[in-house]
Amino acid sequence: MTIRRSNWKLLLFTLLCISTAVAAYAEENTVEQEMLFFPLVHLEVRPDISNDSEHGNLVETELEYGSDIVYSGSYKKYRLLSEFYASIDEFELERLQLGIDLKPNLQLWLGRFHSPFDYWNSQYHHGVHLQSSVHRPGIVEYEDHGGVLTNHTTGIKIDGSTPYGDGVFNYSLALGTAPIVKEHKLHTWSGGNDFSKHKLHSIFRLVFQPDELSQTQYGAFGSYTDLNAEQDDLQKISQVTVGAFTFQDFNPVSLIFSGIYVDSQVNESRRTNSSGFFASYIHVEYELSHNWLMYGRIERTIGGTEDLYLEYLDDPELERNLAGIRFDFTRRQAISIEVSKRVNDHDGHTHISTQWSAVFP
Amino acid sequence: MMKYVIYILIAVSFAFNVNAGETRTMVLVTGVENDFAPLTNKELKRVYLGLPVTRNGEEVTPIRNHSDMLLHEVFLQHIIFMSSRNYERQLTSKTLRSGKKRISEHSSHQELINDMHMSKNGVTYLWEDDALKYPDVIILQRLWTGSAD
Repeated sequence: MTIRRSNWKLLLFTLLCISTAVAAYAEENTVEQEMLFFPLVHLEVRPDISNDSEHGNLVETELEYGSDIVYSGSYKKYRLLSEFYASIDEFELERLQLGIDLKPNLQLWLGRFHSPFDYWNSQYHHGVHLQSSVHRPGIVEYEDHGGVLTNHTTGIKIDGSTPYGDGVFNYSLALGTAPIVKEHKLHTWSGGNDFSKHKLHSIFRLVFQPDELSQTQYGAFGSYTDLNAEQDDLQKISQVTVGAFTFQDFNPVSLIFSGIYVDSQVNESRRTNSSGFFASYIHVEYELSHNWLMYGRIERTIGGTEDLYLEYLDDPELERNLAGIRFDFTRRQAISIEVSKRVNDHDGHTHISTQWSAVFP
Repeated sequence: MMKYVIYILIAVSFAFNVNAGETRTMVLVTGVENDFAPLTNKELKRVYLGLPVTRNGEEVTPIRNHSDMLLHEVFLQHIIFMSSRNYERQLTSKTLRSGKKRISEHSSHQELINDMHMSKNGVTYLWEDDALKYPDVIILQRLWTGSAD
């Protein structure tokens, strides 16, 4: 959700006033708040396959630097969670959600939040320092980075948990706005007066941790999304998504496996067709030592190259192999180097990414 | 002359051997104003993963001690059973999901003790010989004893 410069200054000022007021109030009362910064510098090198490569460079580079900023505050049964991404070029509101503890293990959230699907989306959010790899799996990529599923939604969400023996069941139910398909990308609602164009996104997610004190977990989710379209002769897409995932902790090795099936009914001006594809990834990490970590990931689809819905989006990266190494040179900072290659009907060229990431304080 | 050099070398190596074999004990402490039963191993891991544990109807507030690298390693290996990276990742991820503040930490004993007294049912961990220096701190239980090398 990109905020115009005039609006983000006002929003930032408002948030500064709120946090100052909260801090003053916190002196006397049990308000707990924290602000986290996740700065990053990301350099990507890839072959220049444009027509100009004959006259110029063999490679093209892309440098990104910025910081994810997370503010969390809680007072008695109320919570506030906000997340922004700030760089020289942009200031994006990623999340702004107000929560209420209905019971000790049941929270109601209102606002803009991450759709609770898959393991990766719910575990790492925009704090790239938390994830081991430089890139997210393509199937969970954010909308403005070429993502194909609803990552951000504005509406209402319930998060709850129920103990079961030594383990726990965690569940989430969310109803919110769906993105629009426009200019070959998904566009989420950005607070403007086009709210009525954004139809419904609904999702339910259930996760079981056999041991609440271990990271190992098994999850499943199902969602229904109505996507309006403002592109070519595309009118609407009705989408059902189901998936399952697991995180397995075999210290020093850990593994994430996810499989997602997306069924789309694509309504064009002259016809309606159905199509579906299956996307999965398997991500493995091995801790060589306290500081060094190696990882690898394989991402594949079945039916992805022929899917009608994906044809309307700008060449999403859903199939690749990647591997990397990460060095945490302090408790708060890390450097990663990653090599990735798209497979199956894509350019097949190797991309090299280097990233410095951190979390402060 | 050579005889004295050898005596000195033996004395120095003896000194190093004594230091290397020194036994230390890690303890869980709370303020003298608190009166509750020790935590089980499971409760200890639970509270330091940000999950609720109650005593006398109030949640126990854990505080992390970053004043000593060896103490931190013993905490990770014998209480949490995780690497530093995984532990920090879990705590921070929980904040990003729930909106609750991360478990506070201090690298100064005085700040650690002060925070513990100001928190409801505050607990933290220290080397036993450090804990004994503070008359307003009581030892709840011994967590680990071993050689400091």
